[in-house]
Amino acid sequence: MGNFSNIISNINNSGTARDPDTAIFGGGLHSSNATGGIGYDTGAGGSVTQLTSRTTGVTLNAICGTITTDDEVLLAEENADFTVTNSAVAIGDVVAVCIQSGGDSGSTVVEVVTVAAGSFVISVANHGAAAPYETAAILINFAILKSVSA
Amino acid sequence: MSSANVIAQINNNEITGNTDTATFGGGLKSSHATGGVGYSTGAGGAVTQITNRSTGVTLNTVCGTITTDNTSLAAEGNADFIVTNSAVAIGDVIILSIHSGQEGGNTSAAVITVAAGSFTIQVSNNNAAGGTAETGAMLINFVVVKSVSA
Repeated sequence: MGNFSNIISNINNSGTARDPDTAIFGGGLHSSNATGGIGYDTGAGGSVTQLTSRTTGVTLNAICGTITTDDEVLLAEENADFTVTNSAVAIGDVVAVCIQSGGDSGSTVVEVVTVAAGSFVISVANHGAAAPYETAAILINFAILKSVSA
Repeated sequence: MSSANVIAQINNNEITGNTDTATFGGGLKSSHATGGVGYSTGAGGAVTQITNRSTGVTLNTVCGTITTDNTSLAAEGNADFIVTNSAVAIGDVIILSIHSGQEGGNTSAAVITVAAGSFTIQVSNNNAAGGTAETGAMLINFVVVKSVSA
């Protein structure tokens, strides 16, 4: 049996294109490399821009990506929630989000507040007690971690 | 060679991994109830913040634990610090959780920027004005999930 990279190459090249099947390991799946990382590579992601207001829904059918929000003013101690319609999401999944850039209030954070089959909801919260308010288009990175409850 | 056969051989411990990055054309999941997907020894690191809660730290690993400074953080106060980390790309998602050490009772940690080679953590004391200050050296666990927008 060859080394791991050869095996993966064999999987990816079984046919004329990369094998699109999902590989399910019976054991755990870990990386011990300090910089390689676990996650998604080019071809898996996408991007979308929110229009109209901070509560307008967006659609992005990718397992990871970047969402650029609207720049409507978000006052101190206020939240704006919006739905991301995404066919890659299952109800048990964990959707990880973080701000890539753009926040200008100094106190704005993002979190996922709802997950359903085919969608999730991101809450953008300005936790500041007073001005400056959030007035920026925020770039939010997200990645879906497949998860189950059975 | 089908992916199913290869995965069967991996599941039977017939393959020894190496240090190359393995990129699957399909999905990649574990059906093991406790093994998990993530990082193992060799991938992580630890660093301690010195001087104050805004002092940057450097840790060039895809996961690890950051111990913050314990300078008093007043209620409704934020402290931002940069984690210089060569393993991070701009599209990545950084997941945080507070491991231990908080004493304010209502302190959170969030990622507010991601760039190539660094990210910024904001530690927030969410108590109302006049409430308990955060005076603990907090241990913050993080993992980098590789992610893309294309």
